[in-house]
Amino acid sequence: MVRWSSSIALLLTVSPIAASSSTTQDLTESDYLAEPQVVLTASRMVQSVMDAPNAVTVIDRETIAGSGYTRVVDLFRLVPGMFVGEKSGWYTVVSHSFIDEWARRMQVMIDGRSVYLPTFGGVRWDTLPLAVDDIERIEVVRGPNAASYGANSVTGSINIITRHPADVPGRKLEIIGGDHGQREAWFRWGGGGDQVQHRITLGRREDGGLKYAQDDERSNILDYRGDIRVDARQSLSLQVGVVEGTRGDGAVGRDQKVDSHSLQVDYSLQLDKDHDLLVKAFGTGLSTQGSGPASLPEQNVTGDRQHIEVQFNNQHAQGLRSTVGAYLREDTVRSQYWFNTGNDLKVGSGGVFGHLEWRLSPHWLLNAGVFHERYSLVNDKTSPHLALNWQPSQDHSFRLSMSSAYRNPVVFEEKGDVAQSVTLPRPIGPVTIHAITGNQDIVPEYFVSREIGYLGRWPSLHVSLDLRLFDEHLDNYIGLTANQLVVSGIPISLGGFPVKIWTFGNWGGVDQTGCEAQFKWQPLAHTQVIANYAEFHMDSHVTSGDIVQRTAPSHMEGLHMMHRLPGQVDVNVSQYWVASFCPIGDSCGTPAYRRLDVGLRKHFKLGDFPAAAGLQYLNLHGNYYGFYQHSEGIVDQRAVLDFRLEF
Amino acid sequence: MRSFLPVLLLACLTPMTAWTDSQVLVIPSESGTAYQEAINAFQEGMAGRQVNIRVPASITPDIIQQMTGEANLIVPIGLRAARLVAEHDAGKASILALMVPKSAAEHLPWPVQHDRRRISAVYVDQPVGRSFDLVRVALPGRLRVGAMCSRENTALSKVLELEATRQGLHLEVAMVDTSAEVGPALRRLLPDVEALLLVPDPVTLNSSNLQNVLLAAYRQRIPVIGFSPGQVNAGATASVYATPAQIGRQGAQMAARWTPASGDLPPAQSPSAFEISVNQQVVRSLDLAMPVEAEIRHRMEERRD
Repeated sequence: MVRWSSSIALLLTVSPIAASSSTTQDLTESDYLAEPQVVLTASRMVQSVMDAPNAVTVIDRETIAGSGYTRVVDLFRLVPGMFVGEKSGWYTVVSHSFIDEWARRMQVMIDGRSVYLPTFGGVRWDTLPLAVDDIERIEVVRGPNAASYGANSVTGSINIITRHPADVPGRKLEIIGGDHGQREAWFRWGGGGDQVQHRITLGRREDGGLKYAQDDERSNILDYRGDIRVDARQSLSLQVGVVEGTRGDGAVGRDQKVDSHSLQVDYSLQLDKDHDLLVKAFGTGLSTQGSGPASLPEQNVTGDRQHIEVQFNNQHAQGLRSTVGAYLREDTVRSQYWFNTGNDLKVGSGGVFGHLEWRLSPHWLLNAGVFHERYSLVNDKTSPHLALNWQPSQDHSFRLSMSSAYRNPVVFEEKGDVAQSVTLPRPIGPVTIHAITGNQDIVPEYFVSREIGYLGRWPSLHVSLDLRLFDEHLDNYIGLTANQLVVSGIPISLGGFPVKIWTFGNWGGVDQTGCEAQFKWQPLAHTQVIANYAEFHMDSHVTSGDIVQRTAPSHMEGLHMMHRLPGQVDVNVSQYWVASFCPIGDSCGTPAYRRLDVGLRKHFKLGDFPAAAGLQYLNLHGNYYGFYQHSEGIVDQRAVLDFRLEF
Repeated sequence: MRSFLPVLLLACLTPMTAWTDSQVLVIPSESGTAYQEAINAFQEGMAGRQVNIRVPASITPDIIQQMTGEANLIVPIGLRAARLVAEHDAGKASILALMVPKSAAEHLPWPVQHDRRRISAVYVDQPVGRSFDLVRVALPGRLRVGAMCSRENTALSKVLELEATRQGLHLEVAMVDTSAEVGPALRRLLPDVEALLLVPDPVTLNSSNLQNVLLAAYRQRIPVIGFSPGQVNAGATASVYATPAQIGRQGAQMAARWTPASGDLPPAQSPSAFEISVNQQVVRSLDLAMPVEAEIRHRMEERRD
């Protein structure tokens, strides 16, 4: 989905449901003849998935509400080909192929704000200031999207769009309690006047995590969004997020203190009905610190990001629109343990981008995009994307798409330096070894993708079908390789085993082919059936020793049913099948598993106030390995009760 | 200031008529393009029917009283002109108001002694059922429709509900007392409906809140059915409406049946001809499977046949 299509433009420029003064007046013919100001400009409107240059799965509000899930990450199970893993109770992994603890190959944004971590890559989902009920919709691009969002969007991108304050007026209280010590309380208030509207959410989350792991979570969460209508053409949005708390980190007495914060400002100026300007600026920071008697120095990591971008949208003519923009970003990371320095390490990047959507004829649509970036750790890189959609009718779209993308090394891959003091056998004695080192010479991973897509719908049957066949090649794979430690020309062994040191490098390539399919039947607003299927075939030429061949399950299936019964009772049933896989860096692999989630929720009135009570029973099939195959990683059953009241 | 209306057009056509002593006086409310289109269409429709058309350069209450004191046909276009005529009506002429909202036209202060058979109109409003025709044809499968009405328009809301039911739709009407209640009412309404019907009601829909209504509906991905092309341009999904020319032509057809002798006019009518306007960008963005405008119109006409 091209950049202008992001709902951000819409959400940031809307004004509250305003009320003009109450005046009783006669209707006149002017009410029929007037030419009011254009409200839905091209850039405010999201691009149709039929017109998108990528395979896009949209998780809308109805689906979010109907799913019954109370954790954001669980929603991604509704996306074909998307893997959701649980390394621990609070450390979850969402990955589209190339399953990796740090999920470095996929971009994730909240209202266009990247939450991809600069230090190790990936996303710390437990540190996002986000309640499920504050999400309006989620747009998931399955496949490369670097031409829209820049490097690191090589296997996909996720944009989480939050709800406008005007859509959540009043107060809402939600209490959640479940097995394994899950206790949550959320309070939200939305309100304001004609010009300014606010939404503030306060949350407290406690969770005992997985059954056999020391992975308790305690979080306090603040999420604020304010939208200001400056005048008819200008709007401003401000978002503030804070998550602070502690996490059990694998052992008794080893906690991790977490401090995550974000500030985002968006400005929109409608120049005329065909042109508008968007400016986005944000700063984010995530700090983790070890705490407790068993804490470890590797728990102390800080990463900050400052970002500003400008985007200019143009509607040139009917069927021809474009967007151009530029951004500047600075990431700062600090960790004595991981970088062997107490200093800040700064990485700058900047880029320009452009997109064109051109309807060549009623049946042909061309999307072209390019993103040119300069990243201080590597040379300039350009990520182009070209897609041609053939639409024999408005209900059927065939897509041919080609793109290339880069993943820039994260700071640790370039500058990591884990230094350890060890005492080696005589005659060497005590030395400092560099157990893991980054590599200044590595080049970005290069990703080339070709795909054929089809999106069809049969409105009379309330059915839609989304198919994607892809052929992708990843080159310059960045991974760790081990070499025996050599000191003063002597290969070092301890107890008969060679002492290894690890270094990042580029280690060959991976070919990946596969298909994804989603069948959706939605006969009623609160009734839908979604069937997902994904198949991945990887042919690894990686020479680092990583078992990349199996970093995507050979197949994944999902069947989701949501239905509203008479009496305002929602029922949901979701079944998943995930084939065995082997996360990057792991050697033993993780067995295949099934997962069944069922839930009921009754909507009712408490006095005059809407309320709902629900029971969700997760993973009815019982134990499976959530990520790595070890006893602490076992996910077992969990019952969750929730009660919500709007007042 | 009500004694003068803008100069629009002064046209004296050569008398070719049986009604040599009678005049047709066209009085537009304003000098805009829409009024000119209606006048042109009215004139064209009357051409060849041997009738005098006279559009005065200015109108004073005296002129109105003089004209309405004889067996003339007065054709005010727009509410302002119609009200001016009603307020100074001497009660002898026939009055054919064009392009006036039905609700306002029904409350014009006509003199009691004025024979109501001599007062008629072509409304600017569409017949109630036509908007629902549009919903059925353009948004097939969307059976739950929402609308907002002020309590002053309770009668209209009842009519809408009846017509919706007749067409197999379920209409959810949010009633409000003031404009301030529109936002909250809309937020309650939108989650329960599959389409939003804009209703001409100055309390629930006016220039200051149209933007908010359209944006709120769009955020909920609810298509909006309007009643003017301007609303479609602004962001409504589709509208059904009559052009000023269509109203002018229909007025001419009614005027052709008028004779000075009886003075009677056909009953007031909604526009019989209509246009459909669709915002294709919104349609695409909302992923709607909507037929093209000509097809929609064709199917709507078929439904009425």
